[in-house]
Amino acid sequence: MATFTWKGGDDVTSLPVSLRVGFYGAAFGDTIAIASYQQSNYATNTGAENSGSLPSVRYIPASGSSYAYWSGGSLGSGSGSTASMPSGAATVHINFSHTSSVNFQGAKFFAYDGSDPTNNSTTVSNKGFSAEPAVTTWVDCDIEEGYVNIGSSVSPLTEHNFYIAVSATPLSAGGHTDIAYRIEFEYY
Amino acid sequence: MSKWIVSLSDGSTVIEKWEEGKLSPWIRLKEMCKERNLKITQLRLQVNGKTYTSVKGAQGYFQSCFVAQDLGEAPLLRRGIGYVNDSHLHILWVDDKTNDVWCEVRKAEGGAIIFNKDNE
Repeated sequence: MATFTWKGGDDVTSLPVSLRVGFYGAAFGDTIAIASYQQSNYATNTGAENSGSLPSVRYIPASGSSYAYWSGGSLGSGSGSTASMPSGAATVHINFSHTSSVNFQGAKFFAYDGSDPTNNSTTVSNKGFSAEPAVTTWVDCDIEEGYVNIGSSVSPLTEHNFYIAVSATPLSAGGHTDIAYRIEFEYY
Repeated sequence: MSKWIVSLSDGSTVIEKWEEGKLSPWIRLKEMCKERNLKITQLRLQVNGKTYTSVKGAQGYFQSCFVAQDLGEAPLLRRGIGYVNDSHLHILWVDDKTNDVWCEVRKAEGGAIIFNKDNE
């Protein structure tokens, strides 16, 4: 029996099926300027209610694809190379557990429009990397552009943990909900 | 309900059986084939009462569960079996809920393949 559990990277705020990851400006409810990336993340459903803060990892275009600024989680704020970021500072922690020990392969994390997993969101653009397993270069993870290539497990386990950083920028004004985040892989 | 069924070169049959706390049945099969120098001669997959059969006597066989999880949604599950021909892996995927079936061909690599040549 396989189950997934999503939480904030620091495991403080749970993300049950009723909630999603919200991206905001400096504080909950603040807007993000077009061409800028979020400064905070919160668990939310419609975007209007605050169901707990999540760690936020910000992509800063001028600093390149191996630099991140993290904040908002229980580990506090920091900045530096993506490889130096603690796993617990990642936006989400996805736990995959099984009653037997399994391997996974071909693991990917990406964003899409929430309807068709081959289509980008038309209103939000995303960057991502995996803090653990370590694939620590920001990549375009809108599915038409690419995905975070997490790869394969090293050995069979009953639990596999994925710590993923996501940074989002709006492509147009207004609140946007045509966005979904997906992890997928094969296990055996 | 779904399960794979394997025919082995010693005439025996192995049916997928998950056991709590143990290695997955496919990994256990892989280890058993290596220890006993057994080859897989055929692989079948049963999903929701239908049986899908792979070719006989292939160079290797593949089995995997594909899972996709969106935050806020129930996970999608597909079962796949496949066989190796030269350097290509031919996979038949079956959607666990809709029973939709489709094929994928890709490079024959990855731990989910049991290559018969490894067990000679």
